Amino acid sequence: MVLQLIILYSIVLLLIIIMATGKIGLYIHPRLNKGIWFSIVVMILMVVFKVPSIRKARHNIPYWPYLIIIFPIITGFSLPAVAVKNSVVVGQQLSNTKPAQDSSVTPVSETMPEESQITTEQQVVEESSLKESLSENEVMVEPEVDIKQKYEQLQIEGVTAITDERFIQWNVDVYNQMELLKGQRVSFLAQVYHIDGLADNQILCGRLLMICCAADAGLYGVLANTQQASSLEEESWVNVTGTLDITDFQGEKTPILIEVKIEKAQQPEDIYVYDYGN
Amino acid sequence: MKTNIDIVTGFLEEGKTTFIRELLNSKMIQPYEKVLLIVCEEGFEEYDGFQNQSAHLNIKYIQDKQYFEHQFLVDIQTQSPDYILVEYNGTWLMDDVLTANIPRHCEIRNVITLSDCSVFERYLKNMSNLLWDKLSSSDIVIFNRFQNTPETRRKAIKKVIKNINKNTEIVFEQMPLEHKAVADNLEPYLRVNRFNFLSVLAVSLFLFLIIKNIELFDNSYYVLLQKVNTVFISILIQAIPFVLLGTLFSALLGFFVSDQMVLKLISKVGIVSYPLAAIAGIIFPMCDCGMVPICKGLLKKGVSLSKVMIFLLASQAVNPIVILSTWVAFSGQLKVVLIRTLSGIFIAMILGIFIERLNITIDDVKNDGFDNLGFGNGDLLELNLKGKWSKVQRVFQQMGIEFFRVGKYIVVGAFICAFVQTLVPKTVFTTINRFQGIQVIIMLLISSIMSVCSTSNAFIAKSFYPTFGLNSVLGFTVMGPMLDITNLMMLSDMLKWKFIMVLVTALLLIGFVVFTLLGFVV
Repeated sequence: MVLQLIILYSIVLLLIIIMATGKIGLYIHPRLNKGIWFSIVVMILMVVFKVPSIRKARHNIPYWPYLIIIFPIITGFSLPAVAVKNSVVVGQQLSNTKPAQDSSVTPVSETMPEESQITTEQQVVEESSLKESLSENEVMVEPEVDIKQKYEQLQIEGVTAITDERFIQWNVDVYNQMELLKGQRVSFLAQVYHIDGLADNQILCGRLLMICCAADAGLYGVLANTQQASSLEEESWVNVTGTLDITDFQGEKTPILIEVKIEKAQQPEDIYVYDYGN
Repeated sequence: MKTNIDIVTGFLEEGKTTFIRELLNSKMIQPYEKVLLIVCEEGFEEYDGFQNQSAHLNIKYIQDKQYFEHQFLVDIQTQSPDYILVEYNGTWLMDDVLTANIPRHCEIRNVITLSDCSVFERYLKNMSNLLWDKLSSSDIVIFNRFQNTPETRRKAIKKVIKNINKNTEIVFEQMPLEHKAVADNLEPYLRVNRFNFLSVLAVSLFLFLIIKNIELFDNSYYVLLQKVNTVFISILIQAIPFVLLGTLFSALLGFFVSDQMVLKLISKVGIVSYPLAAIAGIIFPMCDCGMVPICKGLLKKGVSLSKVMIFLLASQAVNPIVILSTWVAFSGQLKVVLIRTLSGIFIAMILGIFIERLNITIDDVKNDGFDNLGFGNGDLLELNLKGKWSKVQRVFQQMGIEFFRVGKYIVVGAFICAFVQTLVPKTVFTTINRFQGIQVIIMLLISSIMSVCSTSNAFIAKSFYPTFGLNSVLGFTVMGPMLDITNLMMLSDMLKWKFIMVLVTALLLIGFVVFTLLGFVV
């Protein structure tokens, strides 16, 4: 049927345009791009094999169901994509909230072990709850040296540049091991956010992380003290340089950047950082 | 004023001629000055000696459907009738008359199929393609012989036809012309305005222009609209490759793997088959959107409902990519990964065993859409390519049909997801976190709307932690793919809603118990 061919063709066209203009990065994670090319090829084949039977005329065709499929094609063509954040994650918590304080909830420490060697040590120690095994970890020496060194090694003139590729891993490290990384000076590209609970001279320097598609995109970042806080525009791009310290944010220990230097920066080509199979 | 062409079709001895004779004798013919009747020779009852007093009637008998390519036009032009009736041979395809060359002032108005209840089911079995061809293009299907058929069979017949084309009106009436629907549609000179191809294009264009211009009206709404749309489209784009893969696999399974092969494989495994069904999902490391078409293919090949449900529900728990993403999201905690995988398999198997014990089979729960006599199916009629290519063509055509069937559910599911996620900030949920049990319930319920894709599920779940306890967050991760609203809608294409509701209730119950208990351990 002709309408089906038009629909398939429009989807292919839309996908090709999105891929060619690079906007695909606003929709899905780059690792899925091959899948889109595959889909384009398959749909073209579907069109090709349907064409011979195009003369199959029909009368009284129910067209309403097709409008459902046409709807996203129309919005896809008419509404440009934007960067989306579905959640704001400061460390381990969703912004604006206090973590569960009800005693019936098993309290879990916010530092969770992440190096695999910690896990094996856990199995040796008698474990009845996550919390107990975690407190054992704090005396371990090995991971401490590893993480600290990981970033020290990258220092140029005393400053570690955190690139887009390293951002999420660094963000995780900074929240898990804030004691160890305290004092290190880092610089990275970020967007400025003013979130609830911050003091007047504080901002959140963050990046949008996409795992699979825009639907799961979240903002991950680190607090920073800066006099320019009120003059910086929301979501503006900046290069942040600061020294890691620890502060209290909504009742939890949270890393924060002090001695901060902020420079305006250009919006990069890739607005999102992609972790996990980059 | 348009000259209407009404086409009456049906198989041998099903009442076409009787119907037309009645029509020509009725008062509905009186307003016309000149009527042209085209009869495609076939049956016993004819129009010999037929006297019609009121209108100037011209009857033409034709032998060949090629008549409609050119001669039909010539006859209309020379005779200038103001109404045209065609008695169309049931063994000829509708395409030949629907694409007839007709003058601009003529329009094909009604396609009426006459049928006989007692032979309908037999025709459906033996001549399904031809019957489908007529039914799918009909505005009205008239059964004028139905006295020996019980109400239940009539209802079943109605369902079959509605599934072929839901716009088709079905009439059981000995005197069809007295039936309101028939009489209304055959009213002299009446132009029937149906929603057609051009209307679709017009509506689409209209919508496009409106959306493009919203920016001019209200900027704040525009940004919100863009955000919802970006999430909406992103879910669809992310799903397309998996849906195509799923339908491709399903089509290949359908055409190239025989029922015997599958049954042999299943029967060989015996008692081990339950856990095996759970683990089988490893072979398909894809997003859950592609799973439902595969399940449909398996069910059609005769695999039992219980095993297919285990396969479907456990598929994301055993998916290596999902396992990896869980590991990364929860910072390499093996414990979390193990719980996620094992509880997923466990819950899937419990449900499967329940289905088996209660002896529920696919025949109990399949709906009319299952047997695939749905929209777009007519293309299966004609395979124009020869030999090896015809097989390839079949596969792609089948994929096309499944794509449009399943597509509308994914679109609706994705829209609901995008709408809720963008407009309801996650922080709303964090204020309701009193008791253990409530946390679990909330997480389970939310997971049905917020589980977009099982890979990112773990990360979305993690963002609720530690506001929600680890056990409820795990509940979100595990039950999300099972309760996902998009998946449920895709299932509704082949399973009855009643069954799906029962399934959801069972899943919520089991999930609640499992993850609340887990709260005392984790």
